[in-house]
Amino acid sequence: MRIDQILPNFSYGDAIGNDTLARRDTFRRWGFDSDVFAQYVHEKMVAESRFYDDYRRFDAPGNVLVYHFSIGSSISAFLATLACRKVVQYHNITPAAFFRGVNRRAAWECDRGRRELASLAGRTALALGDSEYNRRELEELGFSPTGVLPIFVDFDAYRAAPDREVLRRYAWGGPVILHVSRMAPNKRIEDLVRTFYFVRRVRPDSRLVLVGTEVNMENYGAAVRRLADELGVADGIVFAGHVTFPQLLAYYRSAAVYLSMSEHEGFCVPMVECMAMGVPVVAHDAGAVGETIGDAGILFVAKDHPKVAELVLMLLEDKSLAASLVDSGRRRLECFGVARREEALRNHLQSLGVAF
Amino acid sequence: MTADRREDAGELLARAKERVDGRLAAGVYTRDQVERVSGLALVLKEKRDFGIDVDEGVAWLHANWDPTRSVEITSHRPLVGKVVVPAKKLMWRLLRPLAKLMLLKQTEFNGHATHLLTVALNDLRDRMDDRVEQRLDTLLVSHHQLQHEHDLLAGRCRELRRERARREDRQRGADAPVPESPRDYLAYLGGRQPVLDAGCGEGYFLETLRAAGITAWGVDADAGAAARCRSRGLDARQGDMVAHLDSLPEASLGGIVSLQVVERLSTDDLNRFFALAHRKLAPGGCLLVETVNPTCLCTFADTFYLDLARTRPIHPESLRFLAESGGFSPVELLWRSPVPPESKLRQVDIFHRVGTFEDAFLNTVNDNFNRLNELIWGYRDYAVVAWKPDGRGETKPA
Repeated sequence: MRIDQILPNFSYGDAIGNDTLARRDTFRRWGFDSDVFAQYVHEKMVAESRFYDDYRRFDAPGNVLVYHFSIGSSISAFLATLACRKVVQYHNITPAAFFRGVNRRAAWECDRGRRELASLAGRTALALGDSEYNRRELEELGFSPTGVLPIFVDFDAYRAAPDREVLRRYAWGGPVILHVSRMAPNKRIEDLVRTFYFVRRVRPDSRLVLVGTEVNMENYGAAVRRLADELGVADGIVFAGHVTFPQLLAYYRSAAVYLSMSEHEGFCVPMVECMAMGVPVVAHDAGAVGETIGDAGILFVAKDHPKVAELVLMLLEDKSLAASLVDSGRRRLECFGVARREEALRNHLQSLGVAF
Repeated sequence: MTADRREDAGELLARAKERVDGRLAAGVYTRDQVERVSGLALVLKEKRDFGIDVDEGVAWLHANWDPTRSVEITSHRPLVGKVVVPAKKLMWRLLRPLAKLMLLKQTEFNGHATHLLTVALNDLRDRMDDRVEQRLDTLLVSHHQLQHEHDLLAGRCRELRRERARREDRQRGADAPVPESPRDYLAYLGGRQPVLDAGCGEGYFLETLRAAGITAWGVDADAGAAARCRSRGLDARQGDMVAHLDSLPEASLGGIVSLQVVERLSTDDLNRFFALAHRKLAPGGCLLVETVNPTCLCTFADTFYLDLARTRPIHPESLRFLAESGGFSPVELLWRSPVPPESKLRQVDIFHRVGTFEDAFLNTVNDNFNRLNELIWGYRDYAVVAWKPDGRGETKPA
């Protein structure tokens, strides 16, 4: 029997790529034949994957195919022609409204993705969300049955050596407030800048480091920079752009607080990364953020910038408060550990009638 | 901090609020700054392109689809390059047949895919062009239909406007306030007396006043005319009308009438006449001045220059201005002596609709006739009626 996975973009080192590889290894360990089928493949992943159309050779009613859904693609139409049991793993799609007026293409792609997802309802044997928040969205679209399976994060990898150059750069000087995500309007980077303005009034030496690519959102990035200029805090903000994994580790190591003002998250991997790297979190309670961070961060609902700045400052001043959050984070990591995850995955497959 | 630690989170938020209040009190930042920072909008221009220029992409494909195509071999190394380049060229020449053989399938696929993409793109564009053209045709047809409807409606509107104007003209003729004989001026005088007829001439209006039982007298520079008036029992005196007005006691007159005289006065006399008229009229008194209308061009061809004593025509607005600047209020213009229709240009009769263009043409011709009629054959005379304010308000007498 086969349990395969299919996805539009098989990238190297991103959350979905890592999750897919980890899952394939688990399936193989359990004694199933398992491969990854993809439409666009990173060159480092070529050896790990086949072109998606090849799956037709293995298509049989007894087999299971997991479709990682994070964007619209021709795979959805391909899936409709297959006889196997289909499982959708929904990584969420940002609502198009966030991109309107910012990037027409991104808005169009999000719209298309959501339409495609809706068209899959009723055709799947199981639909899984990375979070309860995602699962509810699936249920609202008419998927049944549904379940939750968090995305795989390889904590062992976070024990690797961080980039020395970055560590050196931030070893001295004021506290670092970190944010990690691609530059996108749903992340509300402008609210980070506004909050940072009030942090700086009290701690002029503090720095806001924004890690994440700006590709395709250059206009949004430029607007955020203009805002920072206008508020007179541009000199305290670092736009680090896309970074390597060791550099990312170094940024987490250097961070005193992680701040999120995002208004839509389907899971929010940086929350788990903060737990793994021991960084206390202050976050806007939106989407799946609350259920992912749990008690390992300070959540707020109203975006009162001076108040949020005070929460950040309290964490900078009160070491015991920061330490208690970090401790909670370390305990909470177990929820996303391999054992818990594999057990959930096994239960989901058994619910489909897969025999182990 | 949620669920079991929600209380902690609530406490932290409360502490944060207290701290913010403290910062505000200490002047770390002000409320205005808080509002400004939170309200400052992100200004950005929407990114619309899809990243790839399709034509450029296709051109690139056409240039690069063949992996075995000849490539230019160069070297940036000045000395080594002289050896390396010929060697590489030789290698390429030797290996190219092999490469062609090995990449045969790939080359075929690339060529086929590029060709297919180009054909598909052109086909798509053709289809889009066809659809756009079809839609454009439909839109043009609709546009012409609408234009036609619009023309018909516009024609109908013009007819209705003309019909309304004719009806209004007829009504004005029936019960209009425009006096068609000097008798009508009596209404404006409103029974006030005494009335001075400045430049009474043969005394026709004095007779009208006498018939109405109004105390009045006239003054005229022509001794013969004054004598003829007196011979008919009218009170008429020979003399300069401005000097006569000057000799009268202040605020002693109920009305002053001057018909077809002011166009003979010098500018100084005209100014003095209006100033004196205001002084000599009692509050609420009425000044009525009639003269030839220069905005009706036919008056120059027949009426105005018949009388050698007429020195210059006076524009209605000039006379109104004289009255107003002399202190009269309100001041009205009355249009008198309309040129009879038979003297005017006749309109083209449109019996039935011949077509949009012809209809529009005939309507234009008629519109032009109307304008010409108004310009040349309008009202021969006009009169200014001006009231001296009575001090209780500036309303003219009922």
